[in-house]
Amino acid sequence: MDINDILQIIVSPTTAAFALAAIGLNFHYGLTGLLNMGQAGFMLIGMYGYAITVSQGGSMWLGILISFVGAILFALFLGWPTLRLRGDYLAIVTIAAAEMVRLIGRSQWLKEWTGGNTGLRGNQFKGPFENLSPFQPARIVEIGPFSFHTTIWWLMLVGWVAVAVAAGLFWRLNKSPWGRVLKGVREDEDAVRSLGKSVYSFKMQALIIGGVLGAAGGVIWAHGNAVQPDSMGRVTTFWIWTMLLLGGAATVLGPILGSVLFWAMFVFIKQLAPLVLPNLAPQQIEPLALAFVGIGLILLIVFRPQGILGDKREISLNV
Amino acid sequence: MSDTKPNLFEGVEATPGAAKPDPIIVADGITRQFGGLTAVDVKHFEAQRHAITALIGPNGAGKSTFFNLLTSFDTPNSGSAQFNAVEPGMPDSDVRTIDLGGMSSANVARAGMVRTFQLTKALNRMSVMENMRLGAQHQSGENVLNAMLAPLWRKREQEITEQAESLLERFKLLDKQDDYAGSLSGGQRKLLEMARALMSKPSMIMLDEPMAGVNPALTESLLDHIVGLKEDGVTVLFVEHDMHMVRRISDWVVVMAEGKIIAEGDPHEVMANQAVQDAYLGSHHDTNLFEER
Amino acid sequence: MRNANHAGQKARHFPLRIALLSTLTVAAITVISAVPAQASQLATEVADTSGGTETNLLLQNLLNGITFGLLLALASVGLSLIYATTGLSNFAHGEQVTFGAAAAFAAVTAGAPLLLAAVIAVAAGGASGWLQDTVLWSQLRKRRIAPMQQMIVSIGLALAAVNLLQIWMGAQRVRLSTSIEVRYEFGPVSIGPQTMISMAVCIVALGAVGFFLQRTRLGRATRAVSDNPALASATGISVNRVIRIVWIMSGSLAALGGVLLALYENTSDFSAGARILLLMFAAVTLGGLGHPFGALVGSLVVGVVAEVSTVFLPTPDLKYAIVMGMLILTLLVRPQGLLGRKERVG
Repeated sequence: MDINDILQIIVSPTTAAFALAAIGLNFHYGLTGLLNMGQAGFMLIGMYGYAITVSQGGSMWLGILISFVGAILFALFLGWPTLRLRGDYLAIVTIAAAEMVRLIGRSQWLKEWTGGNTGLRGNQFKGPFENLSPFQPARIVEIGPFSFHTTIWWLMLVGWVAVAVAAGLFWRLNKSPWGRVLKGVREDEDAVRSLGKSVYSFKMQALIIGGVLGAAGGVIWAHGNAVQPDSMGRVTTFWIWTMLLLGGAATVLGPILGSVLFWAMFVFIKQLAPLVLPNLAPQQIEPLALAFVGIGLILLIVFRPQGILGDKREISLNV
Repeated sequence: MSDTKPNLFEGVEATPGAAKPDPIIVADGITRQFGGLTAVDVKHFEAQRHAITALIGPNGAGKSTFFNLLTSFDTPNSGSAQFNAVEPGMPDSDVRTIDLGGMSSANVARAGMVRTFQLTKALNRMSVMENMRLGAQHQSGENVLNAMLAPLWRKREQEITEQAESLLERFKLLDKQDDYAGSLSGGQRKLLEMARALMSKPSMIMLDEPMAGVNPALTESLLDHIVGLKEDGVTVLFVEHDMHMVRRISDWVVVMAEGKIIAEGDPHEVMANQAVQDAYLGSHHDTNLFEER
Repeated sequence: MRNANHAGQKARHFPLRIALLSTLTVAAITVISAVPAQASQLATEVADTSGGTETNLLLQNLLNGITFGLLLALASVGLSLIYATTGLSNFAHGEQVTFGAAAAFAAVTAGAPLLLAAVIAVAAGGASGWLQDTVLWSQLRKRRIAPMQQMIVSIGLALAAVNLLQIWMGAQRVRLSTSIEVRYEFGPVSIGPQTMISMAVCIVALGAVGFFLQRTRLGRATRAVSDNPALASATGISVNRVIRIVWIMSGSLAALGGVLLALYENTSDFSAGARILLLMFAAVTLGGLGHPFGALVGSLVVGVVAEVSTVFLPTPDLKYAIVMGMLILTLLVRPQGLLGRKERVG
């Protein structure tokens, strides 16, 4: 058992990236009650928009812009037909659209840009961002229990600042008149409509904001790893849901806590499994840890739908 | 109450679709079919401004459907309706005659015609005060960009809160303002829904069965509140089953049966109409229609 | 979607007729729209990849599509039945399909002949449906947990199940039968005997489901529950018993679908069902959510579109992306699906 591994994953860019995506989902589900089952698709759109732009010679800022515009268009595309329909239609359309993005991304058709099923390697798009790093010269730096390369330190700094900004945005909007309308929509659309609010437009705004945060999470994740379409399948969306529901939907810190706990427990189970079950083959350890994620999600919904930080009176899944 | 009634309906004929001196709503040829069934078929309908008009009729008469059509919660198969929010004495530039056809329910509410629901739609997981604030119009903080900058909307929020407090005081809910709406009794939720609708300062309020499921102890105060609305210059149109209540507070009664308006008139006289009696007796014999209470 | 269907006795065969009609229409449209396109720019490309003539390739794909559609229908009819009776979109249904293949594989590995292995898989699938409903879903219904919440529970179950299946089966691909398929030529198309038997099994099984729903007491009770559970309960139907049976049926049909799919694709692995989950959802939604005949029509459309589209697509690996796009488009123009009744769904 190595406690350092757990500490490292807690602060890692991956955890920050998923926290961002979970905050985005919190705008959708926690605040508005939208069943977005395609958050990984938003992440993938974000990372493709960014990485393709940069790998084709665009600047980093253009990459970020395109990644966000991509997420906005994707949200409009998804929301336009479905936000007027019953909630489960959005669920099916988002999951299908996210899958479509992944299938097109991994296809040989656009291989020249997307890299096909192998995706885009880090050195094709990470350059401009890493050049901005103030931590020079590039080397391994050790602080307390953490030992990372300076590029990782830089990415972690940016990633967690982005998480803090997103959480601040959620806090501000959640307590604003805008958030109040969304909370009304979450409970009863017709009531809100009868008070003169354009429900459709509010839902669309929430879908866009959450989607852009998902795209931002995707960009951070791509910097910590690479652009890999198959690592952003629907299972990834399910993880994000687990994080949000674990930490507590409709809370400011819930998605962050959820992401941290998710990854910490994931590493913890992976380390614990061989000690408890010595007969387990090494390639069976990760599936076992993921099976626990699924079981955890079931137990959460049944016994504590409000998650760790949520308020049971406020949050209910009856959408 | 009839003695205090200003005679808004002088000279109005007691016939279905009668023209009113100053109509706030005019509807023409409204029909709505569900499958092969015609739920609503209203040739002509007018509601008098500053009056309390009751829409009554036996179960399945199409009252609620007609209500939904007028407020754009449902779309008619044919017909048109105008809503005229202009007050007499307003300058001409303020004339707001609004065609209700093709308008979203949100826009209808924004134009000044707000409704409540038969099954109360208080937002149970929000506090009473938040429910009230949600009813207000012109809060620029409902724009997502403005929402990020609190100074842009805090002043308006203060005004809204004060307005909400005075309404809650009037509806005797002020001490509940921080409670979740779900913790209120059924009658209190009805009151909250009505108070919330008033937050937008509507020119007309449409109440769908305001007495349904309300504890009899609260009925009196609900009636008083509805009369109070009229005194504030709000036009009221309400759907109700309870004839006792209709007679107590309404200025004019419109009777629907099988989707059509079959009679109109003074609340004390309309029940003597043979068509009305047939419509009621045809569907429920046990209604104590003529019993004076 | 689950409103009462007050169609009288005479109208009973109406869905079947519609199903047949739509299938034929889709097939006809596909063929007609395909002919001019292939004549132009695609001619050379196609000729390179196929051994035979162009008509040959197109018809072959059409046949493959119908075969795959039938398999998909078998796998997804349970998904549709569960949605109809309980309102649950069961995301763990893919694992139900994989489970069938895994159980058959385990039986074959233990020395059972393929036919016996298939029977064992179907029985195990039914048992898993019974077990799930007993320990999980019926409890959730008793606790009045809403269908949306149950949907997230099914996601958790899917995550748990796919990983447990991976631990059980390993990450490698497995084969149920090592025999090498011969293919018979029928004019412009060819088909293997194994596939022909699979298709026959599909048709018989789907016919049995149709017979069950239309002609048996229990089937009529099932339809009554899907139309209006409260009303069905009031007329003395034991809703929970019906749902239990639907879960058992759904489990065994999915298992059978999984076995046949493994034979059709000649291989299977722990994610075989997860891969087709969205195709099943597409099929069920296309046909009309909760409409069992809709699942058949939707599946055939999905199968035919996926296979035939490979002829026209820039790269064949986009065929499922096309299906996803078609699903989204359908919801845009006809949210109630091909067979669903038009009603306000918002």
